Amino acid sequence: MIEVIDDFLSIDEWNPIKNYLCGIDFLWRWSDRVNYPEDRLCDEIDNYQLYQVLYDNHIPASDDLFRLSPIINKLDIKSLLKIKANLTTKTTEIVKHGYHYDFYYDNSKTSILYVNTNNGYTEFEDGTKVESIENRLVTFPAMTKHTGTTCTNSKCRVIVNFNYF
Amino acid sequence: MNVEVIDNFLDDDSFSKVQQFFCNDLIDWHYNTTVVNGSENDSIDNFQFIHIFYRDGLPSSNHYKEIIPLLSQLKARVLFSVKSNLNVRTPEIVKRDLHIDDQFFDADNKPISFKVGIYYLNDSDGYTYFEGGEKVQSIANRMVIFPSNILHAGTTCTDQKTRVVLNFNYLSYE
Repeated sequence: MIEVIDDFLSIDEWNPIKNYLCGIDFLWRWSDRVNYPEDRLCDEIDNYQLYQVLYDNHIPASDDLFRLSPIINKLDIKSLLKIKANLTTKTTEIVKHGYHYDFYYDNSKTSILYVNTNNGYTEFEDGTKVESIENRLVTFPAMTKHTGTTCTNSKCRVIVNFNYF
Repeated sequence: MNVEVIDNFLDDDSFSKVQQFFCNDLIDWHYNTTVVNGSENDSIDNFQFIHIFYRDGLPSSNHYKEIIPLLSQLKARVLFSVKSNLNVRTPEIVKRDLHIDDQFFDADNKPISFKVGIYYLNDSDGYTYFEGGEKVQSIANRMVIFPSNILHAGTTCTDQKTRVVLNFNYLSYE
């Protein structure tokens, strides 16, 4: 089941988080790939993104994690697997990176929080698309193949990915 | 125009280490929604990723040691700023706005003339261009040095995922 919640946080909670994630103080690392070769749908030259891992391997990976507390508190998390922010830059045409699972644990969930509004989207194998609308959260079982895209109408597309039980 | 181009600026081993550092996921990048400070360019392509190594009289990065070989080779004695820029590929080359780098002032509030060094971390079809139209292509391990009062700008590239450069504002021993 794919659940979409708009206006996930109140404006007062949301604005500082959005401004921080889209601002100059947030740190990004370069990744030369978005998907493993077997999952890749895009040309290799488009196979890149920037990211920051905020939580992984049962420990916080960044002090920035704590800025996301309002989101984490609202997700009813029993155990965190991973939290990661992704930034893809504008392309001329929408680029779909490739269907994948984040984790292979049955009963775990994936939530994607859209940080800015743009014409990129999340697409599922059944064809369902969830548009990138800021402060929207989509949640689905982790064993649901999905792909992200780039956008064409904004400088970048920023999301935060949560994997958890 | 007083523009000096030095190829093979670092020896192979030093270059390999520096390139490995910059062109992998070892460095933190800041998303900057404008490329040239003060520019009114509101293009959707007007953004880049930056990492500042030195400013306001001090190293400002945990990765400062990575650029020491370049500072040694430059014979840099005084630094004003050191910054790395990462531009992602665009379908066509995007030329940034001509500019001079930040100005710095002495105790009498007179602008200081310094040198600008631009070091290319990877090969690409992007380039640096100057007010007179001269171009310096992005060739890995190439350094271009020119006086701070010369208008210049960078570009994006079309044939690589990224174009990565280091920008030095400095005075040398010589």
